Amino acid sequence: MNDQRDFQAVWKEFYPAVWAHCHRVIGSASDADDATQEVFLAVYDGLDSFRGESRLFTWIYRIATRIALRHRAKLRRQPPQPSTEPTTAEPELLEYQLRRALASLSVEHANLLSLFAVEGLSHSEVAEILGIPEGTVWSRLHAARKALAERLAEHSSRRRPPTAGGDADR
Amino acid sequence: MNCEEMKVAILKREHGLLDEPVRRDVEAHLATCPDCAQMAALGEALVALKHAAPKPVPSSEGLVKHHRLRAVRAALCATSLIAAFPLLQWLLGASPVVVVVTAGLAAAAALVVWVIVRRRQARFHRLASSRHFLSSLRQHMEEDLQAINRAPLTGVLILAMGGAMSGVGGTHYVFLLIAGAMITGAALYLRARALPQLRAELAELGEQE
Repeated sequence: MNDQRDFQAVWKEFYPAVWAHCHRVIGSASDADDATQEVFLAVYDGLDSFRGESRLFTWIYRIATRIALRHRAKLRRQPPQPSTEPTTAEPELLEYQLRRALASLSVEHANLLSLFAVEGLSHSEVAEILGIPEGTVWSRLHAARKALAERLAEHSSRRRPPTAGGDADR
Repeated sequence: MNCEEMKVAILKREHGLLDEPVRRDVEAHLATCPDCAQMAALGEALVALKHAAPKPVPSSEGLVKHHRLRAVRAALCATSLIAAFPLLQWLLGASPVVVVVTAGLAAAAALVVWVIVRRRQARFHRLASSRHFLSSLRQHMEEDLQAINRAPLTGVLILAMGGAMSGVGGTHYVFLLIAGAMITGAALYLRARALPQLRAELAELGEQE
């Protein structure tokens, strides 16, 4: 790279968003750290040859999406780690459940929701990053959101307090 | 509007892509349809995720250092390749057979060096993506430091071989002497240039760990 300041600027600007995207797709903070580092190694390698055919953030998100996919697949091969559910504030609990439900979706659905709904990218940018036809983005987004609603319902039904008989056992 | 038409409209509404009359229709539908209102609320909850728990930006120094090290490795590779100097042999008047054999050996040596460098890089990439990045980087830099330290020895050994062969006769010892001198010079130059930088970076890394 001719000027390392270019990379530093890219790093500072995109690190939080890339980390957050990886975290949402992978569902684990430590794996999101690893994935983000890998994304920026690839960005560093490719920044010189980046020809500006797409916008910089589209290019970075495309790399992030590919690497997050690999980390997610790796994580699935490992036994699930126990996670602690917040028990205090309601917004925290909702955020936790939402993150958990997002990470339990298929990678494509998690990517779609993370990029469109959370990051606020346009449907054409999402199509470019994920390499899918622009015309199918809306229907896929709706399917992803529906799947998310179902996961949330499943999770909350699992958390529902025990029935009267169960309560009597305590 | 029915629920089917609302599917996309809810998504577009979040990005402000609806015309005012359509937006009003959507709002009216959401006020009466709990299923669609749930989907819209889910969208709002997802947007809120963006602002939750921002991640502090760590330093990118480790990554930058890793790429500086690549230059050092390339120099090491080049130093090794100097040893394969069949052209010099040809200039010194060796027979074509000897030149061809030496060129083959040099190509094989270059291939081995190339494979080693690639494997080291691949290993480094694996280490770099682990959560013990700084300590991995340190370990890698220390290995490079040792390799650079040892590099002049290769040249000295070739020089010694040339000196020994000068007693046997022929012209091959001249090639060995020249190649040995070149390797020693290149390795000493590399040591003078790269070692202080590597040592400073290692000290800096020690402070970060």
